[in-house]
Amino acid sequence: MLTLPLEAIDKQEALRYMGCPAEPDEALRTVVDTCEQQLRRTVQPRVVYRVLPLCREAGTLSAGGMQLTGEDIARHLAECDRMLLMAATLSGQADQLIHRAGISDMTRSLAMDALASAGIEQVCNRAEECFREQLPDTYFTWRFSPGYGDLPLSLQPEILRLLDAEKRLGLTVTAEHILIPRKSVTAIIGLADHPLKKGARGCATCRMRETCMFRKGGTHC
Amino acid sequence: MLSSLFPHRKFIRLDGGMGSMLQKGGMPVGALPEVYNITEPERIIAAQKQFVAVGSDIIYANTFGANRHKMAKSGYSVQELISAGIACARKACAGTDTKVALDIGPIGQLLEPLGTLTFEEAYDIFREEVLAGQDADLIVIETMTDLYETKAALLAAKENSDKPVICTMTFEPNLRTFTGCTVASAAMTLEGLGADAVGVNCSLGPDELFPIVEEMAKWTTLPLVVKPNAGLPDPVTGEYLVDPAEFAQAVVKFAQLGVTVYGGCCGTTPEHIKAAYDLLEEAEIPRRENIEIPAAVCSASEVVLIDQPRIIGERINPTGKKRFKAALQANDMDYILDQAVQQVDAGADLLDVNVGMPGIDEKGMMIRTVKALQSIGGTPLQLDSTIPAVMEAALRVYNGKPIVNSVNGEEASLQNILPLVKKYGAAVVGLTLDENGIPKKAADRFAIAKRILDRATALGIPKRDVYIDCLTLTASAEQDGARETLEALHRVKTELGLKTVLGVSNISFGLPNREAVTRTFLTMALENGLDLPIINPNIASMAEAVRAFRLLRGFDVNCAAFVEAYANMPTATAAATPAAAAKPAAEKAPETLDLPYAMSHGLKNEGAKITAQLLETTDAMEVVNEILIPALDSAGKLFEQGKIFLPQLIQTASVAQAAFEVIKTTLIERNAAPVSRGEIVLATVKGDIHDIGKNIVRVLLENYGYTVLDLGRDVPCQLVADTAKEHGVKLVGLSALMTTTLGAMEETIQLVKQSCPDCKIVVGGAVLTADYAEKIGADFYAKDAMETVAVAKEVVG
Repeated sequence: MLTLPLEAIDKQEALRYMGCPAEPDEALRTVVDTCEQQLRRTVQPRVVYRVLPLCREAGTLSAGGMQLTGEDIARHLAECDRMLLMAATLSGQADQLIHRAGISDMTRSLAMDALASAGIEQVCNRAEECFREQLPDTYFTWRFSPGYGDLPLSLQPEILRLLDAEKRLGLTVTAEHILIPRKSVTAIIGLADHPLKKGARGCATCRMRETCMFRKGGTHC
Repeated sequence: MLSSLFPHRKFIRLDGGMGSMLQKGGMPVGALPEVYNITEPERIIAAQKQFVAVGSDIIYANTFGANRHKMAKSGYSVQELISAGIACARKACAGTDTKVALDIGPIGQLLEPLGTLTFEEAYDIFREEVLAGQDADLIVIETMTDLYETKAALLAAKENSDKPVICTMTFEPNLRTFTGCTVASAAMTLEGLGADAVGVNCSLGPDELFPIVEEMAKWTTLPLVVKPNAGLPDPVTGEYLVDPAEFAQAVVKFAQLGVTVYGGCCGTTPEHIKAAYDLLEEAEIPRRENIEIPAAVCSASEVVLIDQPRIIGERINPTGKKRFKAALQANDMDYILDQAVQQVDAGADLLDVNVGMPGIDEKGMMIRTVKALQSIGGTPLQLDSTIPAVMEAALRVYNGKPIVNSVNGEEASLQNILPLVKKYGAAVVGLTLDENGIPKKAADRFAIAKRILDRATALGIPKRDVYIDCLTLTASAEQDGARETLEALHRVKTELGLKTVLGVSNISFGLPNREAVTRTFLTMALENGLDLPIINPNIASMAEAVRAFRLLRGFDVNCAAFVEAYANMPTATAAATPAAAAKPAAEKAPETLDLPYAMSHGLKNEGAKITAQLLETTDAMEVVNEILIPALDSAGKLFEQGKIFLPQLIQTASVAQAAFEVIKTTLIERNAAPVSRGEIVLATVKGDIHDIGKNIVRVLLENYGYTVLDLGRDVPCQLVADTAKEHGVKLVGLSALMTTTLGAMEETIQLVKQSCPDCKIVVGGAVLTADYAEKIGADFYAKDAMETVAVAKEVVG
């Protein structure tokens, strides 16, 4: 398990998540600043991971006994012989901060939520740097999560079991495949001993492409 | 009770890691080990026999995950899996004195407030396990990270069996669990609830666990348990790296802390365990005697030591507060939570919670309130009700060690309340009154205090958990009263050595300049030994008096807390100009700072202040219709045009919300009901827990004068339909953020249409489109909160 500090959060990114692409006014800037400090003071990001060999049999792809269904994950891992399975969480304290902020001030709640979303993404990036140090001479794909393309969200319980994430992270999943604590991520990174072609990344494989607010606004996440 | 199972033992030997043994034996990671109890019992027995062979006194049956949630897809019932698990352990122990423990681990789903599993459901799941495990000799609750879940399990064990119960939780190096539970909270709460031994297991190796157990030893008189992993696992391979000799060397160090129950968790083999037993046999284990536990109460995440005056906030109480009563009648939890947040921000260390008023279901309200308060933070609570059934309900769902307010010298009160205090491990406020009322003289109040103390200690309630309230009488009615109260307080403190509590606000009732009288009395009481003043911390001078007292008495080391609280306080001359926090206001001269300006600049406090001033000269509805709504409309237009963005729109709405709160309170105080444009039901559908979008919609709808019945998130489909029907609403708003929960949205729509055919439904949420909304039977799709307001205007008017 990695225990990572929550480093300074990219506030511009958080503002974008909040639906505020322009320069914020003084009042909003203050809200974002205080929320960022509070979040960083309070949460304890944690990451667990495991490297699993990929198994290709009779046209199916699996790892550690977990079936990886769908065309998109197959394409993602096409050149790889093993994968790194990871789960990361900001911890339940983040959920509590978001909730509490909403009691007296929706702006704070929205800011806290957006900052936490940006924060968990940063934690994943930081974790990936650690993996690269741990696994020298290995080539990585980008992080592919359940819900991307046609990789089903129903994989979440299996992923948590393989990582023993409930015990090691306190991470659980609801019957509807929502991770709790909320600000958590599971992902698959393909690994290989040789350089990899850059796979398609972005809106083309995204489930949200029809409804995404960024796409509606002509940008992307 | 644990030691009676093992008389004359220097220490009790627990087993080692079963999971890792089974995995070594070929069980795949991710398999359900409990199923092996039935399909391959010989494997389980063989593994356990190895621990019996090295001398374990207790074998944990292979039932750790045998709950109905984790075993849902196993094909076996909880009863089958647990019976088989205990039978395996019995076979492994055959011919020895080794005892078998029913092993209970976490459910695997997070409890409320973070998760969706309720406390009551968790209790029921554990109850099923306890009942299925009647053949065991004792019960072990282990690897817990959530104190609430541990409490549910321990209550289930205590209420459905008479076996000894060992509780161990899993902590991180920061002395907290994943969910933020402190070591002290765990020890205090679990001892209070009747555990027979407490300790730690898993997550870390023995070296890393040492400071955790060292801390725990300060907070409990119970036998201590330690069951560490074989060090930390290798991050890539997952292998545990500490060998048996190293493990034993590290474990034996716990002897100096007086730990008397030892075992191993993940990665510990029979060799590890044997090596540890051998060294412990040689070690000296000092008896843990005469341990002075500090007086304290706690939530899961916060411990409040009663080692200096601590403020109990009194505002969550409807007595004499029309606005609060209206909130209770309307089940307006946000109002109550806001009262909590304000008091904590103003310096409350604890919060008194009283929701009793005629005509409401006080028990149901108390449960909802305690749970809601627990969802926003860790300030410990003082549960306040005169009805024993309400008190018990509150004690049950409280997560931590609360204060019970109150017991008094009346026989009925002593008989009803003290057993509850004992059972749930709370602290208790004893009021110095009895069948004859409040004695006039200090000596008589002292005598009642003594009687309450004697009765409490006779039941096994520790003396440190009895706090005495010598009762404040109104000075204008009985001028000698203050002196008697202070004298009684002083005697209780010095002669009985008890902590004291006092509601001080009553002292000034009926007098002008109440604040001066109350504050002075508070200071006098503090000097006479008051530990827990019950005050309104929102009155600045009250919190100031307590903070200053702590400073002058040397509790506030280096004046740090005082400076932190007041460093940014404007000086007398600076106070005339706007404070630093309200900087944007300074751009505009104060006389032109109006409500629309405050709204567009997110100036909440100013907005509330201006509204209060306006209400002195202007009719409330005029303020709403002529000022608030037009300002909101123009913000809405700017938002639609892309000239301002969501955060600015919400800031404007937040100021409007603050203004509305002022209007509402004023109207209620004048006995005029606020005018509503109509009721709208809002909910995030079953299974979905995203609620920020829905909350934004609610705030905007409320701004426009609609009464929103917000059912929250993860709302059962039928409840939405029932509420819509009961209130005869014209519009229901539903939110879903996940493709997996759209089914629940469709079902909810159908149910609403069945029970109220005329009711319209508006839906929104990230995964929805106008087409899809139409397909599942919704009447409207709203892409954002402003569109929902437009729909409301069209449907409700």
